[in-house]
Amino acid sequence: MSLLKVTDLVKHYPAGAGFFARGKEKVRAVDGVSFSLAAGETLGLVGESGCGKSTLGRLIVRLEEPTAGRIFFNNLDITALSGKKLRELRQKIQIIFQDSYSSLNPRRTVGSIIGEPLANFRIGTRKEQRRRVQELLEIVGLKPEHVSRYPHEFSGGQRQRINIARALALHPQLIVCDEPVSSLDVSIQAQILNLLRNLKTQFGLSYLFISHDLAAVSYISERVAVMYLGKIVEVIRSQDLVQKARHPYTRALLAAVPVADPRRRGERKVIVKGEPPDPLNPPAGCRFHPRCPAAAEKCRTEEPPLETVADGHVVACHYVKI
Amino acid sequence: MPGDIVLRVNDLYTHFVTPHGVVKAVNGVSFAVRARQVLGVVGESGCGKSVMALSLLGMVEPPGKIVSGEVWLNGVNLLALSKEQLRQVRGKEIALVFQDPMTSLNPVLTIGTQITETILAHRAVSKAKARQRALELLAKVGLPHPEKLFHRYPFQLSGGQRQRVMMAIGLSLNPKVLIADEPTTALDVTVQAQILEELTRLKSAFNTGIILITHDLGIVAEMADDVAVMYAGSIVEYGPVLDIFENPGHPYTVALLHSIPRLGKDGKVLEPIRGQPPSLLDLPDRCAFRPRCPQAGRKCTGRKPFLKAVAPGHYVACHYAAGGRPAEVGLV
Repeated sequence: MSLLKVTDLVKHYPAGAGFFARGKEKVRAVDGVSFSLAAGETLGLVGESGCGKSTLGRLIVRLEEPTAGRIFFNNLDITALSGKKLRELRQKIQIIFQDSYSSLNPRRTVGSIIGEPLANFRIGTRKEQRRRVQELLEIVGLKPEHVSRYPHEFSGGQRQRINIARALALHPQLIVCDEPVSSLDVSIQAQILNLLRNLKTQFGLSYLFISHDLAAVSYISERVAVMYLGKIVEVIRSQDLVQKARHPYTRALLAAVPVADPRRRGERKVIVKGEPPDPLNPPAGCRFHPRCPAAAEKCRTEEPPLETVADGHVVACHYVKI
Repeated sequence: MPGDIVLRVNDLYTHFVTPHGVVKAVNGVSFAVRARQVLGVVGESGCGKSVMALSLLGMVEPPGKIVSGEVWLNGVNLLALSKEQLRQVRGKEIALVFQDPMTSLNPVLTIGTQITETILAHRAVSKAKARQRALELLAKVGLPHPEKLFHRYPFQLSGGQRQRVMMAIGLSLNPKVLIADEPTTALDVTVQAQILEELTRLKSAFNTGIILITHDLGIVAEMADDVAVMYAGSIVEYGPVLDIFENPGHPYTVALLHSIPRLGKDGKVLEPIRGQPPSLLDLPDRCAFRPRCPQAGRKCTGRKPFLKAVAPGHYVACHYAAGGRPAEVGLV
């Protein structure tokens, strides 16, 4: 059974900040996205900046209102939940952001930050809350005495641990991780990736793991969804990513990632030129066609649907079918 | 193939005197760069790699100060030059491309003005000649429609285009050495791949020696001939790129290589480096990696280890590295 299911999700923003710009043009940040996430699964979401992956994450945790489409969580339509029902939902779906510093209140102690969700939802007595905070600190690898310290006293990696502890406080089922390791040092990224992996097994969590880093995404996820200009163009099992990915954009991404092996130097090829087009005005037909090395006439006019090419593998391309 | 040595750095120390103590950002760094060579400098944030780059150009701002060292370029020690003399060398002989092209370009001048200004400041050529050269350069770094771009402002360009403009400015005077400090970090991978390809092409076309500073081991593996691994202001390992990746000698390099996720090797569990990178404030005179090192032993409480040769051209600064004689200053 799927824990999270998203159908034809759309989010358009009015372009331009000014009053007069309203209603004229739209930024199509998320433009018809459907996928599902099983309980206990990690789905990676990759794509380049501006492809809409963060907006998609924010829609799922209901920080943004979708323009159209539906979001189901545990088979319940949560697209339009409000008030008390939405508050209840917030216990079950949490989010961790890239910037570990600005997501922590600098004037509050770590204990009060991690305990805030418990206080908010009036879970347990004060004493029980304090005990739970201590437990959470231990779970994420922080020390008991850190409880009375302030965020600025911690390094980036430790601050991300604080964010994770807070996200875990209410026993969520799903955590949306939006670039959680991108601003961390190389040696610290592995600490946080492994922590997230262990927490998942320990607490039966599911993650939507959003990142531009293909290697990190495939390390932590069972399946990877690739996004381009507001659309998912391919979903594939992580173990098949390198060998079996078929969408020309996925192949281009894979080819562009520098490989940490000097003997394989030169295998990296520039397959696509230029930069992603403006989401204000996405190309007709397949959105990738202006940069695609394999584009043909049909790609300019007709948008390819996501189609299953193998078990657990869907692709939206006219020319990669079996 | 790399050519003659174009830049030699001897025992460079750059410190920042702060109310809290002395920050030893660069702590005895020596290396050389050859024409058409890419020297990759890897390290994590705060390891001193960017301050090292600024030091080479004499661009360290107070309270930072180059305490000692020599930077030899064309038989001239840059650190012995006056400010005015340095200004003449900077850009012309040695140029720097930063990570963030938005803040290093002037927002109120057109792209064309910024490139021609650089050329006119150093070369006795006519405005028309400078303009022609600027257009050539824009085409050389792979920008389409140079004539159109010439009249645009930085905000009208994408991140990748701005980074190419920075490279065009960096190369406008055909410098002997180009320092690229995280030149692709803010860019998407497909754009990064194009910039890196351009850099490789330009190195041969212009005969330039490149110091490529990055935290990305993938980029180093793809681009560098030689690699310097920096930790806490010092080079802890230096050698040919194959040796560094296949036969790393310093425990930090080994640990770094084990801690990065690699595509296609998802089954392997990452081994993170425990603890945090050290503060550069009041660094003690011993191995800075000791608190995080899985192999730390009795010797490591002693004085800071010097680089010593473990193989030809391959140097490691570790008390327990197998190897013979210490590297002479300026040898690496």
